[in-house]
Amino acid sequence: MTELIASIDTCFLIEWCRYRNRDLLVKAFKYAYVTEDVLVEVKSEKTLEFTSNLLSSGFLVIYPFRRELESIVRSIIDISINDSRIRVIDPPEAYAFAIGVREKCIVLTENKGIVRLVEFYGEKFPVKVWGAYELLKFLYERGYIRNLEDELRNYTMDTHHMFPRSK
Amino acid sequence: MAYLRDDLLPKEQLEELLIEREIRSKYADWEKIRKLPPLLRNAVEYFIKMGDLRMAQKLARMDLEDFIELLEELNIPVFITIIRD
Repeated sequence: MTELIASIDTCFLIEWCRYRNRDLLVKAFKYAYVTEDVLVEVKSEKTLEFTSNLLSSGFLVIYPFRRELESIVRSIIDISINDSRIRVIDPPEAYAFAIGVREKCIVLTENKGIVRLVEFYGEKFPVKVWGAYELLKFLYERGYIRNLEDELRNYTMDTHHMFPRSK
Repeated sequence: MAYLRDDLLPKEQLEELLIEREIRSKYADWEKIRKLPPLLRNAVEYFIKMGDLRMAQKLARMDLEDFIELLEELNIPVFITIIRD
């Protein structure tokens, strides 16, 4: 059984729940944190259904120490506002990332601002950030997916997420 | 406030932004985009150019999931991950 813990932001959750094998999420992590902001932004029936199931099964856990994230969130948003190489990071994504920093868990996000933040400020924020590609690759390496290329194609068909290779 | 600027991006990042922009633009249903009300059209065009979902969502004055569904209807890839071998 996996011992990994994740923090999930809204964009990741909305996209992942459109994927035919979305239930594989629970194979990769012991449990995952979300903030209440994430739940407020979930609106469609399919996302609500998936999220409710994960909450009721105890896989998704509403992060209980939100107030303790404030200083990390401020620091994340300050950097993103002042560094022109980084897209401004909004509070919902900043909170998900701050949970990753505080709990030393994997952050699941597709937010490019967060990805750049870790690239440029990795010493300050030593956190693993995964998008769908990294998660699918992990599931492949653990044997939950037979063929990574086929699964990336399935993921693209279900979510319109594209995975071009650099030339 | 510092906005994301093409000219300040490191080479690798700029390349990624340009590749992603090209993909969004190529797949987008421009016929449908041109028929959108101006507020939405601006937000969608901003997204195609910059890929900033949160900012585009705010420009559109829509909930996140509704905006993602709009982008899907317009055949615009919402997320793109460039795989480096």
